[in-house]
Amino acid sequence: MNPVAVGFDGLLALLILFLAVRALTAPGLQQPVILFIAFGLAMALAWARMRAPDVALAEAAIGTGLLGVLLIDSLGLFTRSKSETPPQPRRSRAASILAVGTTLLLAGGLGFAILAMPEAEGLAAAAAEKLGASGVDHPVTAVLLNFRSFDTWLEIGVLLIAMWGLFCAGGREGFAPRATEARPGTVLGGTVQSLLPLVLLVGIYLLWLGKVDSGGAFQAGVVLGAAGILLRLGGLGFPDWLRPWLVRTLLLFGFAFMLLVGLSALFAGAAFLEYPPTLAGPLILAVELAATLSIGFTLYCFFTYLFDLRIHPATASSES
Amino acid sequence: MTISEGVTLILCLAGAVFFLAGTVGLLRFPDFFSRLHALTKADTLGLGLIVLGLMLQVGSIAAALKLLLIWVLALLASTTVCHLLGNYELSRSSGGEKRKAGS
Amino acid sequence: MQVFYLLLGAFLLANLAAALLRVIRGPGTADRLMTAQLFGTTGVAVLLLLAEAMEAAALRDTALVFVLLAVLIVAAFTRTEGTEERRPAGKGS
Repeated sequence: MNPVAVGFDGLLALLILFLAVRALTAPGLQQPVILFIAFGLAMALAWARMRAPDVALAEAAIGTGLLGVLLIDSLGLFTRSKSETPPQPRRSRAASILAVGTTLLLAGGLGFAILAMPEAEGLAAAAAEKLGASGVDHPVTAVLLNFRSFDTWLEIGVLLIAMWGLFCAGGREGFAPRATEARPGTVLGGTVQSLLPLVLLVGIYLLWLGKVDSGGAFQAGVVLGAAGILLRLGGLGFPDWLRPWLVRTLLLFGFAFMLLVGLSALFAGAAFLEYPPTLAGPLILAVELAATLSIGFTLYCFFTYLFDLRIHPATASSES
Repeated sequence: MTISEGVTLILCLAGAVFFLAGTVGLLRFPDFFSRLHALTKADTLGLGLIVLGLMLQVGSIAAALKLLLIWVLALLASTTVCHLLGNYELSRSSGGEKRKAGS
Repeated sequence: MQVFYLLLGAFLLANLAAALLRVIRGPGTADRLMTAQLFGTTGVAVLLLLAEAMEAAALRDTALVFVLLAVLIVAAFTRTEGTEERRPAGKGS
């Protein structure tokens, strides 16, 4: 390892630590949000340095792009309320000490667990050995959608539950169709028009790439969701033809499809979500397609929901 | 070192100079609009020079075109962001009275 | 050449760290967002340099996704926060 590489990594590590501490301690909400976005970027660079381009890609798409938009969106919801400064939660000294103590204890415990772990070679060799039977050529995709597809299924479930929470908190009428307020003459409108085809193309490219290289359902879903967000920002409202039942179907689709595939495997006498090797390739592609669609749509809904709640609050429509 | 490597070296270094200029401008300029001006132009040019330098080294035309695409997209994003932020700050500082809605 | 790319990347990282001062000092949100934009551009440059230094072509896709989404954050901010956007824009124009 040459000294330049060590210097680069050291600098990056310091930057990440500083961003993390500062994002937690900075006053107000605005500064932490922007520091958190920067933190995501630094993390993406760190994953890149650790030769994990898959994670770097996910971090770039989710951590910086999408999460940033959602945070900015929700930030607006807070600062909109009467006072400009968000209410500061009251902190007691005892609670702070408890929190710091618990964190340190947990960190210490984790550190001990890692140090006390017996030397193992990990599962990389086992995964590489079975790669041929997985139906794809990229080991990360093989793990995510075949060997450990259970995890991916539950991750999609997490998104679904989050959307559920948003429904509960904001009411269902947040999804009333909105009139299109497209402003084609504006700079943003023009940018959206020129970016949109490319964003869609890159989304599909990432989905297709997952078979052989870094890419896959989550990254593709995020990029497709971003396409929807761009449309909303460009002024295209929540479309008329997206009836409530269709919204719900699209939200559920990925999760339900994987459940169906998993159950059919059970009925065929295999384990849950175990694909027969001959069908693995097409099945993974179908599952990925369904997952991409649902992930993208869910993320689009997250954004649109918060955005519409903010620009035209459903309950206060008489105001304007 | 081959000639193409030398050219890459020079282009990348020139790019770094522009990044530095952008950062210095961001930190030193007195008001928002000067900072915006300094930043969005300088670092886009810096990225362009680095992309140009790297294009000589990637070996395949497809990869070189991808680099070029990244720069074109960065141009588009940077321009749009500059306009949006400038507009936002302008309408904020003049109380939003002088701006026509929808323009 | 590899060493040169990494050195340049480290230099750009140092640039980022210096720009953080602007996020902390502000004064306005627009200033902070502008710095986030600088982070994006510099991050893309560093990713491209890393792709070359580590011979990892996949990192170029990461950079591509980065620039594609670069406009989102600021656009979302000004669309929801901008003064003329407080009222639905469809009525006036």
